[in-house]
Amino acid sequence: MFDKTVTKKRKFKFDSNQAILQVMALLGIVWFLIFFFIPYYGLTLAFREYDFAKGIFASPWIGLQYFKELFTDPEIPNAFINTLAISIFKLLIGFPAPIILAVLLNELPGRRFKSLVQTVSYFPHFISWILISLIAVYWLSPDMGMVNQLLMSLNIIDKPMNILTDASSYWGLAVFSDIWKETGWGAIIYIAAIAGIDETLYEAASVDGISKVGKIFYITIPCISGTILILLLLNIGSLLSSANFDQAYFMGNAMNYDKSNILDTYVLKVGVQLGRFSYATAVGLLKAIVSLVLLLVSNIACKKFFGRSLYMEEEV
Amino acid sequence: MSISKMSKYDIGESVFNTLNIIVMVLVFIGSAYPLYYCIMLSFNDGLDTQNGMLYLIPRMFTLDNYVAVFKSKYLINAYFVTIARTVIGTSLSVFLGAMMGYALTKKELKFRRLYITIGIITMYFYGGIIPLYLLINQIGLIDKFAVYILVCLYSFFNIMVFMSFFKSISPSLMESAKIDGANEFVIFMKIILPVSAPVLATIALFNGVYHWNSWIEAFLFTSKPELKTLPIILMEMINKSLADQLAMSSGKMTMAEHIGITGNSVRLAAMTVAIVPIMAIYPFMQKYFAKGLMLGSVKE
Repeated sequence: MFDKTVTKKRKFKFDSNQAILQVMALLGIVWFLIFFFIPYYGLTLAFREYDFAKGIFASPWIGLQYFKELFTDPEIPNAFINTLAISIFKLLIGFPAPIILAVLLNELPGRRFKSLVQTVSYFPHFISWILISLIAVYWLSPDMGMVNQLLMSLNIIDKPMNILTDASSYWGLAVFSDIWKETGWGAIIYIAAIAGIDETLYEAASVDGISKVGKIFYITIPCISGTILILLLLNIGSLLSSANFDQAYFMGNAMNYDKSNILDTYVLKVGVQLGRFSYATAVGLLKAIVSLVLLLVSNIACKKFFGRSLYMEEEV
Repeated sequence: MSISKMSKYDIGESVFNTLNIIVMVLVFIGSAYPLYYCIMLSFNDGLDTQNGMLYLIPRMFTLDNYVAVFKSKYLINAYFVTIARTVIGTSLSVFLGAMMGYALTKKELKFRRLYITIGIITMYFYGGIIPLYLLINQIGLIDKFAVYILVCLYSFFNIMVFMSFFKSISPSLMESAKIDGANEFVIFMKIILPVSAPVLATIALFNGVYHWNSWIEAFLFTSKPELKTLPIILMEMINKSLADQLAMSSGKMTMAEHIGITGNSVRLAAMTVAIVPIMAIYPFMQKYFAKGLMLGSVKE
């Protein structure tokens, strides 16, 4: 990693400017060490018995007891499957959605209509899941939900659907509410990528008599395939977080618990509500390990395809 | 090219355009209407709303739901806590993040590689809420307002967005100041910050929305009623029928004298109160947004 000739050439002067720069950077480094690196060490609590008086650093070691419990706890396989299934469905259906939106927006005639649709489409990104769970009541509940009223008045269904409380519909609810919230936001990056495509490619295609739809498949998509691939790898790397703690916490309820309980909400339940800190840390560690494996795999793939790591584009 | 071929393409193209416009109109309605509908209901008489058949404008316009919301001291207090948290938290995060980002773009900074590596690890890996909760507990930040600011003070993703913006600033700007004897902090304050409006606005928007919407810090780290934030109140309104109590106390307690305020419509009024600030800054931020985001996207 370190190029010796470069390191030798670079001379660091310890003057007042170096001191000022150090302070500017170190304020943040100290913060990262406290609020990220101490919690990393705190993960060892999975192998220790948490003791309030002794705290994170001095609680006694007890070995693998909580990991053994992890593999016999009947809730774990269920929470794991829910986490994985919701994440994978979001990837399969939610990942292409912003690409399609960006391509279609790009083909719209009229700049003002285009920017109007775009601006409105990413507003839901800024609304919290708490409020979305409230909005969902007015749209999907059996008694006052607009969707049920509409479908009943059109005689498509004869009794209202319990989308919000029926466990079997939670995965679908999670995926589609996520698409509603995030598609417009996700499209921004593809719109920027499309804006960077060389205009002459389209002109040349017009001369060759290629149709509008043809241009999408022969020019637009191939030109943004690099962006698509990078974002796909990033998505795979953070796959398990896309099950979304906030969403599961607010859209989940006692009735759909079987399908809405994900690892993150289970950690909260075990740790904060039941006060079993060490066991909750073990559950969290399980998720962290799986996430790390996914991240390393996508990082290796990224190095193979692009010759760079996922988050670092250039020499630092 | 024959005439028949031309017209085939023209027909294909106009079919595509028409379908596209229809789909985009549906996207527009689908994005805006669910929220609009709820906001509209918050301006309608609660009892009247129960009759249904309301779609575009309130049938019995009223501000009573909002009066009920603002009568609650509880909620007013939460509103101020959230505003304080958002303003202080966002300005500190943007300033400190930009400062760190600037220092990290300087090649002469010793241990620069190490610092950046530390930052990147925090983007890859998160210790989880339980170790964080125990840490906050141990350093005595439970039930302190400062916890809202401290826990999310820095984000390395934002710092990388700052870095990529600062790298694009012409070095000649800084060189001349250096010749005049200005130190790096003065250069950062006097030269860098004034030309960085797009990236500052973008990060401020990210941070501001996070502070405004986030509930987990208040949920985990505080229990005092006077430290409750708006999202926590909204949470309680949804879960615990706090809204029903507010509705009852603002009516004259008995159902007969009930003046058309229901828990449901009070909930929607509270929701609107929470969304309005985001809507208000949205158009202003738009201006800088595209520029700032493009920079972010390069890094992402």
